Formats: sequence, C-alpha cells, structure tokens
Amino acid sequence: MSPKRAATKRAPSTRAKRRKAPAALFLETTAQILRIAGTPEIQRGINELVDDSGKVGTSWFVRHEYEEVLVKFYRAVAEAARMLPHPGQDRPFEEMWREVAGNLPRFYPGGPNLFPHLNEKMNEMFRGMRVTPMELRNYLEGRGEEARQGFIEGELHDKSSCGVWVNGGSCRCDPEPGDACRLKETCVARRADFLASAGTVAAATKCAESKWLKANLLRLYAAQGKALLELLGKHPNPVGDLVIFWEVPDGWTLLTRDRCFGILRDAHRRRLKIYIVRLPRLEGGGECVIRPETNQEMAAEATVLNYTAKDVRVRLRRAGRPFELEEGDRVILSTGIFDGNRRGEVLHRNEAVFVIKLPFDTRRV
Amino acid sequence: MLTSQHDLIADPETYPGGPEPEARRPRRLQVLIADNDRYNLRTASEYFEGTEFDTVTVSSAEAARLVISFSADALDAIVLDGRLIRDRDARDRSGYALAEEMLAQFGHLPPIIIFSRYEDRRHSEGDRDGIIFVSKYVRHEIVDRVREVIQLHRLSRRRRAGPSHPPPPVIILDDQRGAADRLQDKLTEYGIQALTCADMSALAEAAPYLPPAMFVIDLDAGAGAAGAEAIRSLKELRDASGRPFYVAALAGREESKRAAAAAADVFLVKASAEVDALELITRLSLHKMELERAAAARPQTQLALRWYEELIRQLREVRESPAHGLAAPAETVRRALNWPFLEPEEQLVLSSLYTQMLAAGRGGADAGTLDLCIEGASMLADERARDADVRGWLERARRHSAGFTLAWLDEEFFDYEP
Repeated sequence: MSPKRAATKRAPSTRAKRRKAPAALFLETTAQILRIAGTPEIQRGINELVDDSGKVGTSWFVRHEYEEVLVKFYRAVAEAARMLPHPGQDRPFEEMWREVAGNLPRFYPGGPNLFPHLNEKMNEMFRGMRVTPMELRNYLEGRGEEARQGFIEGELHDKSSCGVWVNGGSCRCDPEPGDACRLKETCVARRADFLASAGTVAAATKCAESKWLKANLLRLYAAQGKALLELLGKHPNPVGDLVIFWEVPDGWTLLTRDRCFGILRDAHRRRLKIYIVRLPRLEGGGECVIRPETNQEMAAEATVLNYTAKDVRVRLRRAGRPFELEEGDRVILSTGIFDGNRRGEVLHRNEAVFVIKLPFDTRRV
Repeated sequence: MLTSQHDLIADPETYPGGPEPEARRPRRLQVLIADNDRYNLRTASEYFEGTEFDTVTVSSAEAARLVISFSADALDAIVLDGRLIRDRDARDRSGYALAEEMLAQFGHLPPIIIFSRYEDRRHSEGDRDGIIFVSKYVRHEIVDRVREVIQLHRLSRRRRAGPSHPPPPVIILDDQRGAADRLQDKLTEYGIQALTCADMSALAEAAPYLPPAMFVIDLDAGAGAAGAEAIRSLKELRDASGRPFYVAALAGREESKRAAAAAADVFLVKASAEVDALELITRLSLHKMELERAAAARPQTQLALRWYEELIRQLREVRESPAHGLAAPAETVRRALNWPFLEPEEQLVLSSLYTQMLAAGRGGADAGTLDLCIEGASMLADERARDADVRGWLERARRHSAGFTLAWLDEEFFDYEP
C-alpha cells in the first residue's frame, strides 16, 4: 500500500536557515526515540544535527529510559504477536492485529500511550493484506532490533547508574551507596541542586512530572543518601528529567522535545543551551488569504513567512485589514502551499505576525 | 532432526552447525578397541590406524559399555580384550561378559572380536553368535580378521536396527549404586533411556564418542570432589569439541555452594527419585528443543542463502529495468519473513527492506534506494548478515530514504497538555 502523498501546488520554497550544529550535542530520550520512530522530517532534522555537530553524546539514564520505553515496547508487542496460533497460516491483517492488541498485558513498557500510534501506522501499511503470524512477529522483532541498534551512544555520560533502577528501587549497597554507584554524584554530592530542581518542576504547570513531585516533595526532602536513591528507584518516571538534567555536561547543547528542560534551565543552569526537536521550517510560500471561519465573506491578505507541515507563520498586510485575529480564532487559510484551503487555529500572535496551526496531517508538503 | 548416528562419532564437525556435507571426509571404517593395558591399547590402535580404519579407544569395560550403548550404529567392529580388569586373573572374563551382555541387551551389533592371549573355554564351547576370538599371539593378523568379519557381517543380511536411543540419553554419574539405580528406574518409567556410571575415568573416556547427552552428576558425599571434577571435565570437553552436552548437578541443599562453584548448567536440589526424574525430564525437554533448533540452523541457512541470492538478482533486475517493479523482490522478502529462527540482524534488514518496498509501492524506488536495497540483500546473502555492519547500513539507508524506517510517532506525543 502506498503512503498518502499530498499533491501540492505551491510556491517555490526553500529550506529555512538550519540551526547551527553545536560543538557538542547531547541527545535526550525523546530525541533518541524520535530519531528512530518519528516522522521523516523529524528524523531528518535530528540526523542533520547529529551529523553536523562536533561530537555527540548521551547519558546512562537516557539509555536506560530508551530501553525501558521503546525497545521493551517493541518487545512487548512482538511477544503478543508470538502468542498468535498457527504461525504459518495467513489471515487478514486486521483480524490478526486485533488479537495482538488483545494479547498485550494490561501494563507494559510504553503502555497504552504508545500503542495507538503504532496501531495507526501498522493499519496504514498492512490494511487489506493477508499476513502470517510469523511474518508479523519477525517484522516487529526486526523493528525492535532497529530500535536497539539505533541508539546513539557517542560519549556516554554517567551520573545515574545504580542498582535501584533495575532492582525495583532496592539498593544492595550497605550502609550507603558504594563506589560503583554513579547516581550518588547527582543525588548525594549535588543533593541541594537536585532537590531544588525537583521543587522547580513541582511548581511548574507545563511538566507531566509536576503532579507527582508536588505530592512527594516532602518525602524527597526527608530522604537522605541511600534512602533517597531508593525512593527515586521506586519512581523512575517522574524523576527521569531531573536526573538527566544534571547529567548533561557543561558546554553541551541538549536536544529534546520535552519542554520541561527549558523550565529547569531557566531556574538552575542558565548557560545550558537547549534545542527543541521540531519540524524543519520552509521559507517563503508567497501570498495567502485568511478568512474567519464564522464569516467567510471577510478576507485578509497576508504573506507566508515560513511554514512546516503543521503550522504556517504569516504577516498580515497593513492595509485593508478587515478584522482582528486573536489567539484561538478558527480561520480558513488559502495558499498555494497546500491543496485547496485549510482550516486552522490561531496559535499565537505578535503584532501583525500570526502562527496558524493546521490540525490535519499534511506531511508531504 | 538430530544428526544420524551413522556419522563419524569422533568428529564434532558432523554435529549440528558443522560444515556442509561436501566438506566431510570420505567415511573410514570405525572400530572400538577396549583394553585395560595402555600399551596394548596403543599398539592395537596403531595397527588399525595405519590402514582404512579409524579407532575409538577406551581402557575399561564401563567406558566400552557406554560407547556401545549409544554409538554402536556408527561402529563397524568392536574389539575387546578378554580380561578388561585384571590381566593375571584367570577368572577375569570381563571382555566376554561385556560382549554377551551387549548382545543380550541389543540383539544385534557389529561383529565383536575378543582380542586376547587367553581364550575363554566357555566361549569356544558355547560358540556364541557375533563373538569371534583372535589371539594376541598373532596380533599382526587382527586387522585382516576384523576386515574379514566385517565383510561377512555385511553379507549376512541379518542386520537389524542396532541400539537406537533417540537422543539425548541421560547418563548418571553416581558412586552410590542404590540411588543411581532408583533414578535410572524412574527415568526409564518415563521412557527416557538412562544409564548409570560409577567410574568418572570411564565416563571421561567415553564422553567424546557419545551423542549429545544429559549428564547427571551427583555431588553428594563420597562423590563430591570427583563429581565437581566430572562437571569441569565435561564442560571443558564441550567447549573444546562443540558437542552440546547438558550437565546437571544433583545434590543436597548443603552442597549448593560446591554445585555453584562447579557451574553446571543446572543445579537440582535432591528430593526423591520420582521428583528428581521429573525435574530432569523437564530440563531434558529444553535441551532437546535447543538441539532441534541447532539442527534446523543448517538447512535453514542453505534455504536462506539461496533465496537471498535470488533477491539480489531480482533487485538488480529492477535497477536495470524499473518497469519490472518491486513486486517480485517484495514477495521474496515476505517469504523470508515467514521463516522461523531468523537472526536479529536478518529481521532488521528484512523488515527495513520490506518497509521500503511497501513505501515505494507502484511508484518504484530511485536508483540510490535500490542500491541500498541490493546492499542489504548482499549482507543477507553473506552468512545471513551475521557479521555485517548492519547498523552502518541502516544509518545510511535511513538518511537516504525515510522509506526504510517505520515512522509512527508524532513529535507532539511528548508535548504535555495540562
């Protein structure tokens, strides 16, 4: 089955100025995962930075998280495929995939958050085909192997390795963390910094970890040495960003999709440079017309400054602006970039410059 | 499908995973020689080795019993010293006794020759089938006599299936007869061929000639140190020869440290003969599955390499003439994805190729993409990509075309919405 391809008539466009590749690029977990499983444009953008940077590295905890999330996710789905009966007998893919979904345990790495995304892609690829369980199992195991081998290690920085991550939060060192424990460099030697950063995230509103940290801040403050490590080991998900944040060496640029790191940077390491994983922007795009969805008789002319598959940045013409646009307004955008018109939503504005978010997947622009 | 016991039993290369059949030497005749006198054993072996024979040499009746029990199908003749225990004891007829025991147990065996200075009058008077006497006083005639009886034996048309133990058998090393016999009885009740052996040196002598077996070593008092030594020897033999032995240590809980130090494949705490037997049978099943899997590797590799070469040809054809389309190579890749026992590197390359072929669809792929596909197929054709730089290939492929990747995760997945 061929993937959807959007046939577009568009104005000539050129690639927007690429971000300057840093001397040292640190790949955080989201960057590592998106480099393997993200959209083609995202993969390309990350690879360009990787290839152009002076050196590339990551951390022990990033590698641990990556394996716990992506590699084990693939393994869980492949195992569910392994449970299908009659491995050599071909069947409609949709029927088999439903069984795979049913074979998945209630809790598994990556969990039900990741599966719907894989589900959509697998249906797109195999819909209408007859496949055998063996074929499906080998395919998924192959993708899992790709994930395993696709992890970029480069320079591996380690201030987090510890038995608590693999022993369910139990530390075998006694009475305090031993020489082999690197996590103590983050949580014992830099305890004050670590706890301060926990407080920052707890107070934030835009971090997924905030809720847990807020509820457990006092426990973190009260735990010392080995007890603190064990507490973290029992709850790796909400503390992962904090651990990684302090693993990034000075002078390195952190590449991530997780905007929580920006919050941490602003509060604790202002000199840390962060690149957010995002779609590349294309420059130009010519003229466009914007109409409010509620009153399409009115129209405002604008110039497309740059755009991605998901949003368009425009500058309204000063003259003849018949209406005002505010954040959240729903509009219809007519431009040569895409086929026909597109419905969008004003994401934010700055004077005459607006970013209009496009809800539809127009990957092939 | 396990290796036929008609293979050269002393040649580890013929076990699963060994070289292709064409690489085997032409088969020489195999003769087992058992003599407790090392000098006589060596001399006799030299007589035979200088001709068309290969020899299997053991120095005890117990070792000879093991080899005959499990590998008689691969032997052409069995040469036993008449007195395998004490040469100067006129009452020692252990060679004869062993021959009679084996014939009684298995019914039909390769010709057995008693090669001795002393002829047993009871034997000659009884004239048992299948046992021939050759005097050591005319030792230079032994090779000719053995050759002769082998010819006669082949012409006899009475050859039935020899002792056949569906591998792997269980061999119990325990110097406490009662316990070993009870365990053997229980295993036999469950249809497992089990033999006991009290002599570690006999086991060590016979082990190179035995099929992949499970060795059960009792580590309890009286056998402890010797048992640990037996485990070590068997593991050394396994590493050196590549034979897939399975070594189980059986002992009381108080011996767990010694067992751990010996590092057998499994340590079982003794319970009762019945429970121990069931535990061993469970482990044996796993061992058999692993043997089966190893045995399947060779034919699957032969199959795979043929199809991977075909895949290369198909892709080159598309490269030269894009009108052919990718349907044929895609079908070949799908065929490969349907095989069991694929290596991880194979799975990676095949799934990447398949993803690319699906993405290309009717539109076809550009020359660069096809070159990368051919490179991937070439890696597969080279020992199933076992030693290939698959990672390097995939990085280049992904940078050239996103079609090689399974792109399923939107970056917004990681954006947190409170």
